[in-house]
Amino acid sequence: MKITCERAQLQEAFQIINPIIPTRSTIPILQNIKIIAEKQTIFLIGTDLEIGLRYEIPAEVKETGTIILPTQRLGAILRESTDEKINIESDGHIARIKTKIGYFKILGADPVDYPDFPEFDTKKAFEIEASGLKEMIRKTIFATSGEITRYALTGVLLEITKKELRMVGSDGKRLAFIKKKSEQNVPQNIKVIAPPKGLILLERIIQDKDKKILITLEETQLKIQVPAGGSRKHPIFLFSGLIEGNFPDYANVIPSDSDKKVEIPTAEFAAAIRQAALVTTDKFKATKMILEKNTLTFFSRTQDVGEAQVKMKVSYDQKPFEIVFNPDFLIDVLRVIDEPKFTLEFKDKTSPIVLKIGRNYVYLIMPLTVDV
Amino acid sequence: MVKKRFIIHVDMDAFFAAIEQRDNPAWRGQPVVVGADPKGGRGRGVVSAASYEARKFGIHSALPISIAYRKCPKAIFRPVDMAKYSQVSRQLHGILYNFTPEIEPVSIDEAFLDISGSYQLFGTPRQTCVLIKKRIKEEIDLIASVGLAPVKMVAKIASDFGKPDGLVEVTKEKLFDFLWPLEISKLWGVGVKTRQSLNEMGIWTVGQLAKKDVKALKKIFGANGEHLWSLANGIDERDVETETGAKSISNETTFGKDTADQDEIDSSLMWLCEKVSGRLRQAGLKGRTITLKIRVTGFQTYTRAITVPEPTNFVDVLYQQIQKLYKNFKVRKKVRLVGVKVSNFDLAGFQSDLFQQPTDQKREKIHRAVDAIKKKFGEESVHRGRVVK
Repeated sequence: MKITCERAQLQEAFQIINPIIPTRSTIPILQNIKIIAEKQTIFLIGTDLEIGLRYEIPAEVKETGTIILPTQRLGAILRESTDEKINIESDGHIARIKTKIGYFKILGADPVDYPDFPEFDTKKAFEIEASGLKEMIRKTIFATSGEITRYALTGVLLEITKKELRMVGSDGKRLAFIKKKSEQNVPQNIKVIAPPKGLILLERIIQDKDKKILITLEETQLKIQVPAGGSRKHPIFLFSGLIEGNFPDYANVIPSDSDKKVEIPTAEFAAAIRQAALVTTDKFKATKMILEKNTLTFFSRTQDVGEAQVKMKVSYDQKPFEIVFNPDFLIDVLRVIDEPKFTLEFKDKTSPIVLKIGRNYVYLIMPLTVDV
Repeated sequence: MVKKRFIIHVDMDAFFAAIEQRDNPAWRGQPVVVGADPKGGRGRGVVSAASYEARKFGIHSALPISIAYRKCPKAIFRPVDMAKYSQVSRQLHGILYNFTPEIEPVSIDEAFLDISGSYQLFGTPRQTCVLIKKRIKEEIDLIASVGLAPVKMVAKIASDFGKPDGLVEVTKEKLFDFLWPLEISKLWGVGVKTRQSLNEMGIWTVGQLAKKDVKALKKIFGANGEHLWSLANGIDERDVETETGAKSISNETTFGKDTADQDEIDSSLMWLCEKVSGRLRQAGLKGRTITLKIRVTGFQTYTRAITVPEPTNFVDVLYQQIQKLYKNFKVRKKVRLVGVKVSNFDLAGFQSDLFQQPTDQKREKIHRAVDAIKKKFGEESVHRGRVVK
C-alpha cells in the first residue's frame, strides 16, 4: 500500500472514528483502525463490534492494499504534524509514515485477524428525511437509563412509519418523546430500540445540509448510510446493534388529563431552577415547585446544606398547586430546549409533570412522594 | 461560646388510667387499673397503667394482673383502649409543638423538648414549663410532670422526681447537688444486673460512680462503663432528636433475662423492625443501611450493618436483612439486648416510576393499610404473625 492524502481530511476522519475505538478490549485488535486503499479512495474502519463506522476520503493511491494500525499513535502523529499532505506506505504489517520533518515506522497487525465489516446494501435500503434527526436524537437521548437492570430503557425507541418519525427515551423516572411529520418509503412500520452510542455518532455525522439518510434493518442490526453531499465527498456507513427487549408502553403513560397549565419562558425558568437546586445534595435531590396566582416558586431544603427559595412571575390563574421532584430532571431537559417558551401541565402531586413544546415534544417527570 | 441548653422532659402521670378517669368522672379518686382482664384473679397478662390511687395498694405497671387483683379486688379494671390513648397522644404532641419544633417523642406519653432557642418567647425556661403544664391541663384535662435540665438524662430523672404533677428544675449550677445523691439505678442504662455489679464494687450513688476511675469502669463494663461514668458526671451530649432531622432511626430492647431462646430473640427482632419501619414511615424516610446491635452476657456490644441498593422502610425487607445479619453473626453467648437501626437516608426511595414495578407497589399498599390501622387503633393494634405470642 502506498498513499498520499490530505492530513486535515485524514485527521477529521480519525476524530469521528476515535470515539468508537475501545480503549480497553478483550479483543486487542479492535484498538486499531483499518485502512483500505483502493483506486482514488481510502476507507477507514473502526468498530467495537457493537457499533462500527466506515469513512471514505479521497487519496492518491499509488499502490492498493490494507493495513491495521494502532489508532492512538496514528492519531497523535496526525495531530502533531502541521503538514498539508501525508504519505503512508506499508510493507507487510509495518507502516512507514513520512511528514516534512519526520519519519515513523509503526508496527501494525495482521488484517486477517480484523473482524469482518458488514456491507451496506443500497438496494434494500429505504430513505428517511435527515432534517430534524439531529434535534430528535438530542431531545431524547439524555433521558435514557444507565441502569443495566432495565436493559430496554438503556436505548432510544425508534418508530418509523410512512408519515411519521418518533423517538422515545426514558429511565422510568422521566420520559422524552418527540415526533416529526416526514416521508419515508418504509415497507411497514418499524419499531426498534437503538443503543445511545450509535445515535450519538449519527448525531455528530449528520450535517444541516443532509436531506436523506438510507437505512436497512436486519434482525439485530441497524445499518445507516449518510450519503455524500455538501462538503462530504463520500458517503459514511454506520452500523449499530439493536437492544433486544420490550420497551414499555410509553403512549399509555403520557397523561391527557392534566388540568393545570402554565406557559414558561425558558431562559428565566432555567436560571431559577438551577439556583434552587444549589442547596440540594446527591442524596437529597428534591425541589418543590409552588404555583400560586401569577407566581412560580422553587423551594429546596437540605438538612446538611440549607434552604433556597427562588421566585419568578408567570401567568397562572388556576388553583394553587405544589409538587416535589428531582430538579436535575428539569435542568437536563432545559439544556436541549432551544425554544424560548414551553408549557408545563399538572394534574396532582403524584402524577407526572408534563412539559410540552408545541404538539411534537413531550417530556414527563415523575414526582417524588416526599415533602421538602 | 456554647449556647446554654435547656431540655424539658414531659411525662404524663398515669397516662392510660388518667384518661379513663377523665372520661368517667365517677372513677376519679378511685383506684383504676388499665390492662389485661383480671378474670377474678385468674387472668393472665399484666398491668399497663395504674392510677395513683391504685398505686397505694402496691399496683404498678408490668405487674401480673392476677396479683394486682389480689392486692385490690375493688379496683376498677379497664381494658387497654389504645385507639383512644393514641388520639390523646397526638393532641399532646400538638400542644408541645407550640413550644418548639425540636421534639423527640419517646413514647406515647413522654417526649423531650429542646427549648434552648425558643424559651424567650414564653419568658424563662421555668415559665415555659409552667405554661406547658397549664396548656396540657386546659386542653386535654390531664396532668403532666415536667423535668427541666441542661441535659436529657437529668431532665428525665427530674420529671420522675416530682411525680405526680411535678415540675423540677435542675440548673447547671445545681446539677451535681441533684444528681450525685441519687441511687445508682436512676441512671439511664443501669438495670438490675449493672446495679448489682456496681453495688459489689461499693458504688451505691451516682456521686460515687462519678468519682471512680473511668479506666477501671471501662475494664469491667466496656464502652458502657465510660458512658455511665459520663452520665454520672452530667455529661450527656445527645441532642433532642426530632424525627425528621434524625440521621438514623433505631429501637432496641433489653430482655428481662439474658436469653438464648431463638424464638424470643426472633420475635423481638421482628417487633423492633416493625417499630423502626413505622417510625421511618411516619417521618417520611427510607434508608439504605440497616444495622443490627447485639449485647451479650458480660456487656460486650456488637453491631453489624448491611447496605441495600434500594432505600427502604418496608418491615419485611428490614426483617429479612436483620435475620441475615443475625445468622451471620453466630452468637455464642446469651443475648442481653438487641437493637435495629436504619440510617443512610436517601430520597431515591420516593421517586415514583412511570412503569412502576408491581411488587413494590403491592408492598407499599400493605404498609399504607397498616399505617392507617395503626393511626386509627394505635401502635399495638396490628402486628406481624412473628411478634404475636
